[in-house]
Amino acid sequence: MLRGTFEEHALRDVLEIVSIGRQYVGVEVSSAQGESGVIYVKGGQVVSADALDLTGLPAFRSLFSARFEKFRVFRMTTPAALPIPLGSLPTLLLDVSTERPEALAPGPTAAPVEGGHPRRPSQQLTMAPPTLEPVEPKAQPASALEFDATAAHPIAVSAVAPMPKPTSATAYLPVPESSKSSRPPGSEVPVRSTLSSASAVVMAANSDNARHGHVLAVASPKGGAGKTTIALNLALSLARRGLRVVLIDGDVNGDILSSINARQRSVGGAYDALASGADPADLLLKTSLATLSILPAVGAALPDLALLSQDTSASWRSLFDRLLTNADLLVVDTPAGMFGATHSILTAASHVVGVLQAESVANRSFEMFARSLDAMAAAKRPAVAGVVLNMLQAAQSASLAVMQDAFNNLPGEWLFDVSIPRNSVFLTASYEGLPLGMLDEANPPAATYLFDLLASEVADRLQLTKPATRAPRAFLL
Amino acid sequence: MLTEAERQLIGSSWRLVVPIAETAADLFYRRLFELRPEYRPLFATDIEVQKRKLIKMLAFVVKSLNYPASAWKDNVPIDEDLLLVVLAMGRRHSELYGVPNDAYAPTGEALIWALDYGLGEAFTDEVRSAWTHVYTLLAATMKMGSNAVEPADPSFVQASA
Repeated sequence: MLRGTFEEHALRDVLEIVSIGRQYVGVEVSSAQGESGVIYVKGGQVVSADALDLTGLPAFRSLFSARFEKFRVFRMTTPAALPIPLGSLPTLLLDVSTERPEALAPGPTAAPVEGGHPRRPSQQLTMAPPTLEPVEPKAQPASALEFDATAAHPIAVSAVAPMPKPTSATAYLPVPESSKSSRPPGSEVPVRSTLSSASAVVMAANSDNARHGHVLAVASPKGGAGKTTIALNLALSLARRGLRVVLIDGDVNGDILSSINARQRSVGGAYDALASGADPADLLLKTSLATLSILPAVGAALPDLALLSQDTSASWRSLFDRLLTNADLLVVDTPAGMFGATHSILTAASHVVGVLQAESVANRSFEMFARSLDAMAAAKRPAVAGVVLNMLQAAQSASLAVMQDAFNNLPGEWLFDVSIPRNSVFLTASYEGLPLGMLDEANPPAATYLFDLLASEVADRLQLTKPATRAPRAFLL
Repeated sequence: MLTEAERQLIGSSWRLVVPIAETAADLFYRRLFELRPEYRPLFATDIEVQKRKLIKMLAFVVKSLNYPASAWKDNVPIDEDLLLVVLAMGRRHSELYGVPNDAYAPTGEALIWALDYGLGEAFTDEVRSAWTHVYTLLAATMKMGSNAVEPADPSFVQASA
């Protein structure tokens, strides 16, 4: 695969390069006298080493001796059974660098060295970070990958490269003074992408709505992701913490009442209040939990459907305000998608929870979550309380892949620690027309506690939990 | 060697870059052509495709570095193995596109500059250091791929003894 001499690349550098891959690879070193040895690596681990009559760690160390001149790297089929590795490459290299090469091998040709391996300075390549020289438009900068050969420890890569400084003949954009400063005033950074920084989306509370109180919309670009289930069970868990919660069905299709098998119970709902301006408090359904009430979407009669294509944000806003006079938090289930009626609700909400179904199609569509929020004016945009992964199937790699993707691609602050697994208990709960926590109150299914955890995370992020007013007690008596 | 801490910094800082990826790519190429106007003709007139490729490659790098030490035994397909992909890329850059070895330095500088601008306060010294380390490693790998005496042929597999 590769071969070269140690004049060009030191063995540790070759190993470091090889270790960015995860194949099973052999690095063979050989000397002019025909001695050779091999280091086997995979996935950042040194699996084994052979040298002359040595094996294991002694073999590994001996191969760094100055008498080896050439290397050859080859890929191998992974053996069926891999032994316990000698150790991770970084650890083993640290180990080697602290020993003087003369002590490693009795080679008679070991040249005198200064505490490091003998090198030709002009062709040294080590892994120190590149020195970013200030650049004049016409001048030739030093090549960033030639380093001081007397550097004691090539693996000490923590030195930070200096910032390029503008010269008097600067022709480039202004340079930040330090890496910690925000952009210098007057600099123009054209933002051409449709996405602005999602971090700004997270923390910027909806300035129009923040002063009004907590309205948490539950939304997802794709349907069937589990918004209604999440909204219902989350509302219950939040209410059990003592918060006065109203669960609002923002979807004319009325899935909240379907979940609890109570479609026939509704005499009127949010959409009626939106149309007529009536007090939504009169339409609330009470539950066996004093702190939880439900506002359905509609009653027996459908509202004027033209309502669904208008911008009803102002009406939602006053509906929310009225309910908040007697509630701490509103949880709003939204119709599938981020546009239409959902958009109106989002504009009036203070926060949004995104529901990401751990399935490939939902994953691909999820980009609309950030994009649609970004398209809203900053003052009208709800803050992202978080994104919860739903219907996770740990045994299915396709489902886990969505989780991995989310960790890699979503802003770190978004993902909740809790993920909700796919579980047959959800089917049972739907069948019974109950939230999970009500199936067997003395012995709730385990998934109930996941919603309690989610409620804890939500309460923390929305700052609904009051900090402790007492100092903690002593633990040991 | 890339430490666990550095990998995490790469992952978490990349997550902040993703929503502004197109802007970051813009910044990168602006800076690169500012530093090296003579590189502009090496690229197509419409550079949009190239920007997307850059982002995809960086996403691939971040993804490839993100695995737990416990997964060292896992088999990764050769077209998804970071080492093989980067070696091949180095060879292409050298032989097909005629990119000289001294291009790696200004490219790295432009990359760090773009990340600094894009991430602002989030681009701490530690984040800078981690990305510098990764870039140095990738550049060294690409150079090694371009200098390979034999083709970096992923199908050349030696049977285990």
